[in-house]
Amino acid sequence: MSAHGASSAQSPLLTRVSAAVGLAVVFALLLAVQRVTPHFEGPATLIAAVGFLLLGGMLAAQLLEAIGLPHLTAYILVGVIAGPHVLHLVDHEAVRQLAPVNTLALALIALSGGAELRTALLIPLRRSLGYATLAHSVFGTLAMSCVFIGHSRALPFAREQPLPALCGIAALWGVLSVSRSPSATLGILAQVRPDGPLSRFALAFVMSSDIAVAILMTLTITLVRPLVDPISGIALSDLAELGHEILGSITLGGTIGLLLAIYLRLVSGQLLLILIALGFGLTEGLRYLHFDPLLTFLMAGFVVENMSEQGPKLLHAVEQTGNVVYVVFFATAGAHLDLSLLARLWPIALGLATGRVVVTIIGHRVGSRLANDEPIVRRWGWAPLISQAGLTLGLSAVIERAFPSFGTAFRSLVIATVAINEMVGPVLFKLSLDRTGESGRADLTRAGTS
Amino acid sequence: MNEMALLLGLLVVSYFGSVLLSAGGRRNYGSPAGSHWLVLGFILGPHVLGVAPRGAISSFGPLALVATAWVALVLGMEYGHSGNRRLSLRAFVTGFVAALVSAGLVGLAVYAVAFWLLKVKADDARVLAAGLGLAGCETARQGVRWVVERGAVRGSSLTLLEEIADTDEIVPLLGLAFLFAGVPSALALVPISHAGWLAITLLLGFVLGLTSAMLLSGVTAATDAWSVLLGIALLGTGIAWRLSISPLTALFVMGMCVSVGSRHALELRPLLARTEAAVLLPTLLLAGASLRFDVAPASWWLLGLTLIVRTLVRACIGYVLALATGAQAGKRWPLGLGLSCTGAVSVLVGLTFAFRFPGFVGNLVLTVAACNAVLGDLLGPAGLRRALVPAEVAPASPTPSPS
Repeated sequence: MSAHGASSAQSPLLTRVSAAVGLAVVFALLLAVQRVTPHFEGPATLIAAVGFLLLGGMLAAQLLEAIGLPHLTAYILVGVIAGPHVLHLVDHEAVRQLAPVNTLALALIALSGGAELRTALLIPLRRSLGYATLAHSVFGTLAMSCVFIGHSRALPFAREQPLPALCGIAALWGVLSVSRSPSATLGILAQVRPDGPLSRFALAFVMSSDIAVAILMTLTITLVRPLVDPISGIALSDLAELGHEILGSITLGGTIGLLLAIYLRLVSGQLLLILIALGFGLTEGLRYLHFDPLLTFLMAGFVVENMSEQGPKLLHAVEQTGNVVYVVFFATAGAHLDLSLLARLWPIALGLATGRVVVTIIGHRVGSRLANDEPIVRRWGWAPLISQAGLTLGLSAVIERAFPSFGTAFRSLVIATVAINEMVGPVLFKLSLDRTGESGRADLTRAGTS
Repeated sequence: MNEMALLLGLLVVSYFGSVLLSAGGRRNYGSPAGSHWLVLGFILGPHVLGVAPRGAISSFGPLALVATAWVALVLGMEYGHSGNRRLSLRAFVTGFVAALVSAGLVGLAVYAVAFWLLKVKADDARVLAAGLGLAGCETARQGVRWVVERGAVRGSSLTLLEEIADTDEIVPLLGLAFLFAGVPSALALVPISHAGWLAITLLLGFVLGLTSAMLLSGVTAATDAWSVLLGIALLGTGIAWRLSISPLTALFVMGMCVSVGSRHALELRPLLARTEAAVLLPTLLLAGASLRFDVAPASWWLLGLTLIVRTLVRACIGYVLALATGAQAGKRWPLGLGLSCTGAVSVLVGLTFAFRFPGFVGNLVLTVAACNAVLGDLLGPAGLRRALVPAEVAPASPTPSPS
C-alpha cells in the first residue's frame, strides 16, 4: 500500500473474494442489529448508515467491476438495496440527515470540474462546444417539449391543462431534459482515467452546459409563467437577479480560486480540512448571498488550474477527499430513489427517458456534423450526456417552488425519470470509453510524459 | 453562534492540531495533555461566554461520538507498541495493575460516600463509582513525552513510566465494556446476559478488526485504506451505540486486531497516529463546552472526593513503583505525582459516559474527567520534572510570540 499507487497487491480473484466476504459481513452485521433493536432511533442509525454506505459502496464497486459496471452504478445500487424502499437498513431520516454530504460532494465535484477545464483543452474545442450547446439548447429543448406533449394524455397533472399552459409545462420539461450530470461524468472519468477526444469533449461540454442550463431555466421560468398562470406577467427582475447571481458567482469564485492558489503555493498542508471548510462554510455563505455554489466552485477550480501552477495539487487533494465523499454521495442518491414512485410511473418515465436518449443522439449528431468533430466524438459523444442526477433534481425543486399548482406532481415525474437516467447513463458512458479505447489512457499518457 | 460557525471553529482547531503535529519535534506551548483546549471549550461554552450555545453543541454529539471512537481505534492500533518497538510483558502487567488499583480504590471510595453518606440510589452509585474510577485511572502518554522532551534522565524510572503510559489505557477501555454490558439497552428485543453483552462487545471489535485486516490486504492505495478504516469504524460505532455497548472498547479491540492481523500494520500505525491530534483537539473543545456544573450539591462532594482520592492513590502507586526501580528517596513522591497526569482517554471516557448516561451520572463523570485532566496537567509534569530532569538542564524557553 502506498499513498499514490500500487504495491504488493494480492490477486484480483482473492481481492474480489475478500470484497464479497466483507460485503456479506457488513450486511449481516447491520441486519442482525436491526433485528435486535428494531425500534431504535437516534444518531447511531445515521453513523452506521454512513459507514455502511461507504464500505458497501466501495466493496460492491470492486465486485461489479468484474462485469464492467462503473463504480458509480455500484454505489447507487448499494444505496437502493440498503435504502428505505428495500432492506430498510438506511431509513428516510438517515437519508435526510445525509444532505450535508451532498453539499460537500457537489462543492468538490465543481471544484475538480473547474480544475479539469484547462484553457488548452477548451480552445481547440470551442467550435464543438458552441455547436453542441446550440443544438442541445434549441433542438433538444424543443424536441423534448414535443415528446412531453406526446405523453401528456397519460399525465393527470398535464392532460387537464389548456394548450398554452401545457406548452409552458412542456417547455420546462424540455429545459430539464438538456441538463446533465457533472458528478456522474467526473465519477466515471475518475474511475476509468481516460484520455482522448471523447473524454475531453464530455468533460468540457458537461461542465460548461451547466451554465447554459441555469440561464435557460431562469429564462424559461420567466417566459412561461404568464402561460401557466394567466394573471401573472413577465418579471424582468428575475433576469436581473440571474445576472447578479452569475456575475457574483464568477467574481467570487475567481477570488476564492486566487486565494486557494496562494494557499497551495505557500502552505499546501491540511488540504482536507480546507476543502471541508470551503465545502460547508462557503456553500452556506453563498446561499445567503444568493450565488450559485456550483458556478462559484467551478470558477475557483478553473482559476487555480489556469492562473497558477497549483492545479495538479488541488486535483490530487480533491481526489483523495472525494474518494470517500463520492461513495457516500452516490449511495445516498441511490437510497433516495423513490422506488414506489418509480413502480407507479415507470411506463411514462421510461417513455420520456427513451425519448430523451433519441433526442440527445440526434441533437448530438446535428451539432457534431456542424462542428465537423472527430469521428469518435461524432459517433459516441452522446453517451456522456445521458446521465442525470443532482443538478436536474435541484432544478425540479426550483420549478416546484415556482409553480405550486402542478410542481409536486411534475417533480415526482422528474425523480422517476432521473432514476432511470441515473442508472443507465454511467453504464453507457463507461461503455463508450471502453469501446473507443480511451479508458486508462490518462495513466499511460502520464507515464509517457514523466 | 450557529452550528455552521461552530463547525468552522472546530475545523480551525483541528487545523491547528494537525499543524502542531506535522511540525513534529517538541511542543513548547500548551499543557502536556491538552487540557487547555478543555478550558477553552468551557470558556466558550454556555457557562461562561455562551459563544457556543447548548443546542449547537448537542447537534455535534454524533460527531463527538465518532471522534471518541476513532481515537480508541488509533489507541488500539498503537497498543503494546512504543513506536515500532513491542513492549514487554512486564510493561503490560505493571500498566494493567497500576490502572486497575487506581480505578478500584477511587471507585470504592466513591461508592462508599455516594451510597452511605449521600444516599445516592445503589444502581446510580455503582455506575458512578465505576465511571469515576475509570475516568482517570490511566496516565497520559503526552505528559511523560512532554518531560522527556525537556531533558528527562533516561533510566529505569522513566522507562517504567513510559511503559505504564503506553499500556494502562486498556483498563478504562475494557472497564467501559464491562460496565455498559451491565446496563443493557431497553430497546433490545432479545434478552442477553451481562456476560453475553460483554462477549458481544469484544466479538464485534474482533469481527470488525478481522474484516478490516482482510479488506486491507487487497488494498493498493492509501485512499482505499482510509475508506475501509473509516467505513468500518463508523459502522462499528453506530452498531455499538445502537446496542448500548461500549463503542470505545469495540473500536479499541478492532484496532488491536488490525495491528496484529494486517500486513500493512507498520504503514498504517503512523498514518493513523497522525490523525489523533486533528480529531482529539476539537473533541476536547466540545467536551469542555459540554461541561455542566449546575447539578445536585452531592456532585460537588463527589467531585472533590474523587480528585483528592485519585491524586493520593496515584501518588502512592508512583511511590511504590519508584521504590521498585530504586529511585532516590527525594524523588519518589514527585514521581508518584507524575502519575497523576491524565488526559485524552479520561476525557473520552467521560464524554462516552455523558452520552450513555445523560443526566446526573454522565455529567458528573465528564466533569470529573475534565477536572482530573486539568489537575493532572498542573501536578503531573511538575512532579515528573522534579523526579526526572536534572537541575542543570534548563527548561526549554517558550516559542517567542510574534509581537
